[in-house]
Amino acid sequence: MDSPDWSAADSDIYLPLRVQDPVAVELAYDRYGGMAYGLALRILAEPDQAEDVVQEVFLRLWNSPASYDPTRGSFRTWLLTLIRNRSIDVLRRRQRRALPIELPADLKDRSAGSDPWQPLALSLEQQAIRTGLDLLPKEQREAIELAYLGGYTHAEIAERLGTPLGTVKGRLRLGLEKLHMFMRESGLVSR
Amino acid sequence: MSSHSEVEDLLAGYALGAASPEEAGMIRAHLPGCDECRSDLVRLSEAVSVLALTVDEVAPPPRLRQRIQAAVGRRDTPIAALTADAIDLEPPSRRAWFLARRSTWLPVAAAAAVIAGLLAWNVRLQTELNTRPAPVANTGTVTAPMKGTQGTTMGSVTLLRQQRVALVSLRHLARPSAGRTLELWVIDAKGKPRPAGVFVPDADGTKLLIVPQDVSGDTLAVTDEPMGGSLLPTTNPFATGHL
Repeated sequence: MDSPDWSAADSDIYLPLRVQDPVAVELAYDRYGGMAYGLALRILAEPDQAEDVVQEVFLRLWNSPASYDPTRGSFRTWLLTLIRNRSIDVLRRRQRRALPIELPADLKDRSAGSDPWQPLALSLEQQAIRTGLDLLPKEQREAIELAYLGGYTHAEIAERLGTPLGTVKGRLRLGLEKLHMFMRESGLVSR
Repeated sequence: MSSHSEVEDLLAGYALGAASPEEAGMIRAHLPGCDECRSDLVRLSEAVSVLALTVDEVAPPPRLRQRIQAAVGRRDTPIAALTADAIDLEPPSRRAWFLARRSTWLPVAAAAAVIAGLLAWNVRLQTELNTRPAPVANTGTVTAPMKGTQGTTMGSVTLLRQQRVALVSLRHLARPSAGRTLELWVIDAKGKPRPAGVFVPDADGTKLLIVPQDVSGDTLAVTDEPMGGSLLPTTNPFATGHL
């Protein structure tokens, strides 16, 4: 992977993980626990379920350290994809169709990371990606968020928005293409 | 049989997990024979992969860490560990101390550019690492925890071998009393300490130090010393990390 991904520095997590050094799980949790929990909570809107998802995924790290392949992408992307996919599974299973909610202010405290320079790099990257998402037309952003955070299918998004199915597919495609172009122009990806 | 344009329309939703099982099946059947769609999917998936970063971090409840630690603790003793036991400083060679050149570290606030450079180094280094399977013992970066006397984690030390630079990240530091300072030491395999700089913690009890030397195989330690620092440690270290 040749994109400038700060989390490529995560070899300090996944190499000790391979030899089942418990410190690796602690490091991973210190660095990404807040992001993982924030993502699960945003999708599930239920703190207990979000905790369960985060615990399940971190234990998977511990029990199957070889399931992460560093040649196929960053550790952070892999971890957050596991969190997102597992959260969507839980969401679909409970058949709850609530839109993502705004979190109470007291839950929005950012977690203290173990590494002072990591949050700095991360916040710069997050800022750039949020800018890219904000630049999308509202309809495209809305469709992407319903799919990514709400776990809705094409047909469900179309029904929810009262929009033809073809329009939803087009919005998702255009939105992701524009986001990717923005990331490329910002140097976040190279392709 | 699905057409190329049908699949093309569905790829973004597929990357987002919004395709129905039937749509997903159609895409999976089409992909092996279509370079263009495979390439599109990689690009679209790349955009999807960063969406997680648009969500605010939320501090998990403390019990979650305890649950995970408890679950991990139920496993057998790890096959290998990077941590080292507390070091024995006795007896250091005083002569070696006077001969040793005093090293310095750079305060974070004054070294933003250096940090950016180090990050870039690290990214480049890790990018190289990520492009090939690397044996565990032969990597460019090594990280070890900085442990307190009670075994608590007080931060970490990361060695960038190629650059011969170590990043020391400390937290839970108490502010030294009046007339005192904290001092970082690099202790070689024979137990000889070298002073690596004096510092005071930031207001939140943290400190990031950059040690511009190769500390492979060395132990880093922090002691409380008289203002200006010492040539030899005069107190027992309260935080150590072994690389």
